[in-house]
Amino acid sequence: MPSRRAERQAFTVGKGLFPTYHPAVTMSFFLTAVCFAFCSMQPVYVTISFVMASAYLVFLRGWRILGRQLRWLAPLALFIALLNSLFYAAGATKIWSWGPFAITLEGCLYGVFMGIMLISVLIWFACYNEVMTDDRFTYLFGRAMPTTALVISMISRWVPTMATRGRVIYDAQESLIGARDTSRKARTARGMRMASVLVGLGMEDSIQTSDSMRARGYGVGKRTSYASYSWHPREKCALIALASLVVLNGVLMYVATVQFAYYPTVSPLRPWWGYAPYAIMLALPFLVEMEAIGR
Amino acid sequence: MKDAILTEEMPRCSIVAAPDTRRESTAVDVSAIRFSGYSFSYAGADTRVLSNIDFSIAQGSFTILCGPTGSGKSTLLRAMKPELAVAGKTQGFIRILGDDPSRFDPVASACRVGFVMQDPENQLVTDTVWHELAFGLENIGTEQQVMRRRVAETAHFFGIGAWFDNRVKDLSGGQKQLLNLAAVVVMQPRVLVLDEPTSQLDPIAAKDFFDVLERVNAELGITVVIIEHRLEDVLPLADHVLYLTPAGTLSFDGTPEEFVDRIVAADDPFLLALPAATRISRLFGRLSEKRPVTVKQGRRYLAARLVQMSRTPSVLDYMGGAGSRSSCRSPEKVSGDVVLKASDVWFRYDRDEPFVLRGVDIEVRSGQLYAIVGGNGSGKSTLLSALAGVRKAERGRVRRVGDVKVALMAQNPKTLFVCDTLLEDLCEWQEYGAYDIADVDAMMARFDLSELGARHPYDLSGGEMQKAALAKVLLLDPDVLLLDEPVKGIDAVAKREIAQIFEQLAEEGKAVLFTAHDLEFVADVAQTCSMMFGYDITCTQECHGFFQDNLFYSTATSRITRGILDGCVTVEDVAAALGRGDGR
Repeated sequence: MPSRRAERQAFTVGKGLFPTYHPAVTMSFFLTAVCFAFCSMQPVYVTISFVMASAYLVFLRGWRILGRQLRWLAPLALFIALLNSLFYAAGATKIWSWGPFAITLEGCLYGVFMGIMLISVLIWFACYNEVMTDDRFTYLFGRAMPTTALVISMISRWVPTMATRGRVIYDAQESLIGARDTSRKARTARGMRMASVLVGLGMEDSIQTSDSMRARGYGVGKRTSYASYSWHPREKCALIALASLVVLNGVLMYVATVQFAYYPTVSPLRPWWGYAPYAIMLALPFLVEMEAIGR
Repeated sequence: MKDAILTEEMPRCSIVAAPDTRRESTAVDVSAIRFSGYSFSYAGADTRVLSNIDFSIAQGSFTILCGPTGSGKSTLLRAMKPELAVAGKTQGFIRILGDDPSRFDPVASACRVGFVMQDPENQLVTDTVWHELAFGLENIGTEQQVMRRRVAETAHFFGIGAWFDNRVKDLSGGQKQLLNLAAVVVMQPRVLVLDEPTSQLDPIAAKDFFDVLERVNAELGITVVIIEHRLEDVLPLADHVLYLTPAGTLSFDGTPEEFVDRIVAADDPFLLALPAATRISRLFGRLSEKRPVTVKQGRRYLAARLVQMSRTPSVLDYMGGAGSRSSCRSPEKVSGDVVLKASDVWFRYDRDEPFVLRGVDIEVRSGQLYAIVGGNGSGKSTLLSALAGVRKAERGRVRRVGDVKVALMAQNPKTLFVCDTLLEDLCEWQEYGAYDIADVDAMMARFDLSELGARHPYDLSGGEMQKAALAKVLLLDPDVLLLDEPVKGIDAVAKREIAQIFEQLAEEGKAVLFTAHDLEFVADVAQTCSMMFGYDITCTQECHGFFQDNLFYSTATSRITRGILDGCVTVEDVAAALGRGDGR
């Protein structure tokens, strides 16, 4: 089954130049992006984070993937917005009320931006998954904790294997007795049985995997690591730039967030130069790309 | 220059050098593996699994370890790898490269003997190809520079460069098994031990694997010991055969030529596993010369014999016979009613993905034994699930005539077992299938499983497990049976049993549609054959004619007899054409 997915994974490193940077740089960038996204609910900051995250995901994987992510993220965000506005009716502008429940404009807006904030964080994680492949993660933390790193690498192989195997077992049983199950009780019982097959097969397989590990000397001594990345000047520059932007944006974001409130009424928003550094910081992967084109 | 070679040679496996490596590499007289008076029994059991085994394997040789199911082959093989040796009571001693394996230091032990197992998937530890290659070297603490060089060299030798960065989950089965071999060879073992490494692969991937294995043996001088039941491909590569009896004693230790003579002369049931050329030569009785093993030798041999019998073979032209039909077996006509019919079926797994079934038409009749052959990824399995209704066709339709019951048996029989004993498992579907314990008993008796009722299904041998799964499915009393690779990874004797079961089912009027890579099996059993290629059925024909008209994608027998004794597809056909023997 030659799928597009298989083609894409012909190279484990994500698209563009940024993923070729030292894992410490890419890791710091994503940590920064996610932390800042969590730290502010100010609408402009939330929007910038969302736009930049989406732009990077589109750059890495294309529009279709962003669409697919949004298809399940958008309902989630709406749900959060609804929940928030229902249970936290602190706003001044009532839109609708019924007994003790009231929906306010402010509550709605807060909910909407909270939803968008969460979506942007999840999209950053999607980008992270593209760029920080397991081997890069392993490299970063592998020397301090080689076993943990190996376990992570093994788990990331196990999850898809288990999913595929579950599907195979389901198909095998479904084709034989699926149509004959009518009651809910029978279906539940069958689900349990399939889980037991999955566990049984998994145990069998893991015995073989551990044999294969022992046969190749796992645990005989101190492990070394194959992967290596070196520190070039460009990496140092990127890290310094990122660090200074983090400090600058920390201050700016604090200022902007303190001045802003959703309740009781939403504070007015004005154009401000202070948003620009945030956008620049989150555009680091693109800046890296542009620097290369500029040569 | 000479110094450079020496220093390259010296560290061998051990970057943390094992002290005695140099002495060993110069001592040619030391055998790679020696077993002396070796016996084995499981802890707490009295019966010996292996008893009094004595043999010695020369360094750099290619040894096949074979024997019927349950003869303790795997136990013997595992005894050669200290880390994986089965726990139990042993007697006698083992020497690996002249040393006692139990006194190996752990690093040397990991390096000296490499082990490759049956299942390509489960041996992989990490998620990427490069990491899998580096895994062993990382474990023994190889310095990074040395490791990178070793990995690069190995990737080069195995032709892995093109998919070095891939995720292992995206590899084909054949690639996975090659990777497993490479990941072991990268540690520079002196002995390579393989337990049925190709049983889960399709024939093309298996041939590729053997090609590489031959290079590992011939170009790197690594001693190879392999358990294999498909001797057609591997026998020509070997220079040493060990044959175990069901009682766990060594009954043969010698060259492949002697082995073949011995099996043929003794009329051993293991005969079925021998290459087609050898089985054809058996029809001519005792031989003064060497028995043929490969297709090439078989063709020469058969032609010479026919001249001797003053039955002039036609010109030894491989293509020449393609048109002519001196049929030795009248083609069976299938007369049953159509029970399952698919027309213009299109299917894809996802809207983003290409179609994996493209306008397939197929008709299955009651009492028909129908085989679908074709390469891996040609859509065979998908077609079966579409016919079974597990996958819904996006275009076209699958129609069941009347209320026929269709059952699909998945490729891995383990997916069907859920209970702790076989008996419980066979009873499990009573509520669905409306059968009772008497039916289960009858079914077990029929499939020769009665003795095994108390065993855990996972503890059965490959052939037994396949039969057990078949029994479980048949208890549901389907009219159409769809089987995905029912003879994958099982030995020749079990294959013969499955073939007989299929024939019985067809006589009872059930339709049996199966996929198989084993063309000899298909030629033996099927009445109708379809070839799948490019996600569609490219041709459908009565089975005998199918293999006769195929030039390359055909049985070994057909390739041996083409242009010499036309119209023969199985060894039985040859026997019939010559008017002798039972053609086993």
